[in-house]
Amino acid sequence: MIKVKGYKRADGSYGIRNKVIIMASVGCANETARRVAENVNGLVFIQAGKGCGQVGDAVEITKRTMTGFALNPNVYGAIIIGLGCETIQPFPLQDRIMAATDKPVYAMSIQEEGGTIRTIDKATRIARKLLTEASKQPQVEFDLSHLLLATNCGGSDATSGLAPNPALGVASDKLVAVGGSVMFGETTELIGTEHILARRAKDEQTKDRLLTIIHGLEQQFADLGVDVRGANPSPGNQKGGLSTLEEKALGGISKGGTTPINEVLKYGEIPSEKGLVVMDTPGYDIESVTGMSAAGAQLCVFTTGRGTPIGNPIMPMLKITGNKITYQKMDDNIDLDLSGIVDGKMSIEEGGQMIFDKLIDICNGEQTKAESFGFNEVAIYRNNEVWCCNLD
Amino acid sequence: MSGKILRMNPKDNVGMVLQDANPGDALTVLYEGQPEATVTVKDATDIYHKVALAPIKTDEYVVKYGELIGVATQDIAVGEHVHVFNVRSIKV
Repeated sequence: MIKVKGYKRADGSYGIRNKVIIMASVGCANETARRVAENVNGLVFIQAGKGCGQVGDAVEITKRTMTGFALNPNVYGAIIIGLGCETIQPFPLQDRIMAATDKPVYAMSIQEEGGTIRTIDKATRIARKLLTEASKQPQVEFDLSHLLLATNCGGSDATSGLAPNPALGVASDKLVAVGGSVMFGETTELIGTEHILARRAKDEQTKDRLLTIIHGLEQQFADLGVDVRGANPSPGNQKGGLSTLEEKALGGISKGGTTPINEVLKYGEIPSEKGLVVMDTPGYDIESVTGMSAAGAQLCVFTTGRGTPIGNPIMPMLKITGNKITYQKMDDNIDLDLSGIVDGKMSIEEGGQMIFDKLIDICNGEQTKAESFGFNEVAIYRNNEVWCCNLD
Repeated sequence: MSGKILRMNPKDNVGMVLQDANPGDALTVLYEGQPEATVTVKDATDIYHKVALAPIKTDEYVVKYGELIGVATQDIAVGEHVHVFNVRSIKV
């Protein structure tokens, strides 16, 4: 049994980091919350992308995702800074989080505190207290069955489906084999693989939910007059050697490995099943990964062809590529070079073992390159955007 | 010229060339890093494009990653370039 070191939470979960986060519940509170984070070493700032004017499902998606940030096992405690008149109010959000966890969670509103300086003063004192408490928490050993691994790809090229995605699939299978969980998403990339994914669903309900998210998205594209199947593989994809939509999509889903799909989740939803799960996430990398961090994933493997610098405020992100030139050009952003698979010098199995070994190191505290920069990109996916009228 | 073709799964009837290849090039097929056969390329084939590792008849499936990625629209011989001109998506 492979053990790693982490932080035990009251709900029985284990984090591989021990973070204190400060979340703005509305864009208007972003700068005030950011100043608090600048005052306190180690405090992680999570910015809000929206504020008023959120309607319909978007409100619940945002609340669910922000709740998920605080509930993530990597988080010791949280502070919410609101303005006071926004759609998503800090105190009800605090109540929702505290109903699901014993973690310390504080909330305040800038209007109620009496402006930025008083808010910063109060939040800074709370943050320092929380970080001191967090620093005293001892690490304990836990086994990998408690781990939820997020997977995502971005900036893909011809090498993505050849090396990093299939190798990540090997690592995913290894984690599921020891009782852990793996998540993949990017529903746009699943179109064309539904016949394969449906076969891998553990039961009829899971199969129906898979088909619902894929066909539902395809219908939304059709309603906008976009032919996804006709547009894929794109001329650039074809030049790279991809002949059909199925081939392109299979290269993407190979990162989830070969085990049955046990659950299909809403964006930002916490899984109730172990093993391989699918989340309905959009194609924009940061939104996709943000949803997975809200679902409780403690770490993420991100496969790339062209390279990307992004990180995440809640979970370490391991970047891997099969493109040797990208690795050489962006070795300050990319953690692992799997181009040996493309050169025929390394097997996919060996690449998968390399990823798995690196995951263990990251669990035990090794910093990823995005972590060493302190990169904390976050973006919550929302539907139901309104008031974007076309005046042309 | 010598060179390599990567087979992703034992069930696959196509493999990817790991360098640009020309007609007559005898390439080594690798699976899990080990050489398992030699295939002579019949067409000019760009890097990461596919060649047939086994004969594929019209309407037979093209298999990569052990999964069906398309249907052959004409007979394809071993070593032929497999791409949009001789394979189509399964969903039409």
